[in-house]
Amino acid sequence: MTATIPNLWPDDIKVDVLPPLVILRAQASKIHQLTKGALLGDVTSTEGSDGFVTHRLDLIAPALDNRRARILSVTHREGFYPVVIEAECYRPKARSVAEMMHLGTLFDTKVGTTWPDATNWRPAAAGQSEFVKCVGEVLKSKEVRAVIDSLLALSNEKNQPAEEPAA
Amino acid sequence: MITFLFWNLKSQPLRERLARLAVAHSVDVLVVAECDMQSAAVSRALSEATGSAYRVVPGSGNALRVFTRTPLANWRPLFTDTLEAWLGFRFRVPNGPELLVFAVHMWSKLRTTEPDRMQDAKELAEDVRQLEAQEGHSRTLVVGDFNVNPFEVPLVWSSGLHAVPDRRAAEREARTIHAREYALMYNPTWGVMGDRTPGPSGTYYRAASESANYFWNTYDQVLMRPALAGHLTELRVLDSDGTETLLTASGIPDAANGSDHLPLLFRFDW
Repeated sequence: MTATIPNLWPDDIKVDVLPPLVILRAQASKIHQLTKGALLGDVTSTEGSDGFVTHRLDLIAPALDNRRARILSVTHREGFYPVVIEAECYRPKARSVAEMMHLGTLFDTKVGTTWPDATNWRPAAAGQSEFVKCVGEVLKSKEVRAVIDSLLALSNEKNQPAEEPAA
Repeated sequence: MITFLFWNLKSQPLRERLARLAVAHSVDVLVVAECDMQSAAVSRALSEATGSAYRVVPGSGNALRVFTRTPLANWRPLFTDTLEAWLGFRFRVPNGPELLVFAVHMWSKLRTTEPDRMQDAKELAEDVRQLEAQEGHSRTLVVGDFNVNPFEVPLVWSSGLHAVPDRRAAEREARTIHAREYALMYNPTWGVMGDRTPGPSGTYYRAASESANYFWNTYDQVLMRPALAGHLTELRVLDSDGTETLLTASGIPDAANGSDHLPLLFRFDW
């Protein structure tokens, strides 16, 4: 009798895995629909040393002379995953230099260290599902909500017609 | 003439000293980093001391802020970074041109590695270029605490801020490297380093135990595109608030009674 060899792979492997940039671009286009064009999303990318690429997701308020607020930066190497997410909602609430000294680095590639650094405050998503979860956390965070509502309120204020002078 | 002052306050309640500086140097725009004080308290101290109405510029951050006595209508916030490492503003100088002003504090990146700092510089440079394209000019100044010296790679690297110490070199406007064009910046802060200058030897003193130790560092800098270089009339590191010294008896920043950074003052004229 042949022994049954169990499947040891995780159950949630998907074949339709996308690069982080594609996921961010999709979110960038959705904010335009959600705000009826009051806000735009824009993703820009910079290539760094050691094969690092950083994508930045910005919100743009056209009514405010295209005022731009960056809400998310993600960094990965040429293999796309793992990807490190930098956003205000994850940042330790430190205000002094002394506290900030413990925050650690994003790109520490010295011999004997791994990337990403497991002790860093910026979360690292091992794959797409974790990345999507993190991006969702950021976009739904109170910090990003404050940015969205602030840009919308300022845009609405600017777009309001001037009051008619009293008769 | 327009007068700027940048100071990293190290989270200290230095509004009285800021006010004295504003009086002593007739400062129009104060950019402060690590500011833990209430904006209203800072504005009040500045206004009472100078007799001019100072207000915080909309778009200022939690710790990186801009105060001014110029009309707020002359300012427009254009950019906020995720972690408030830099902010971008459009600023119309009274009786002068429109500028693009970036306030910088790489405060979230302390004790980071060289790749970190290079990436920061590259990202900031890209944001500067992006806003210059949007605004349709390059009358840009970038001021703040970069946490690197003017001669270190992130500041001079072509893909970084590409800031050089010589105005004539910067006036080439761009360099082509491997068929790609990189716009230049002028960094006059090179001119205030070391003890052969009239002021202090830098803006930040650190007697580190590392084998390479500069003692004095000039982390606080102003960079500008060549379009502004000819209008810079003064740049100084200050060692006094106009009344009291900012240094200890041994001549280093008096962190116990002020900040561990010294203020940077600069003026433009048109």
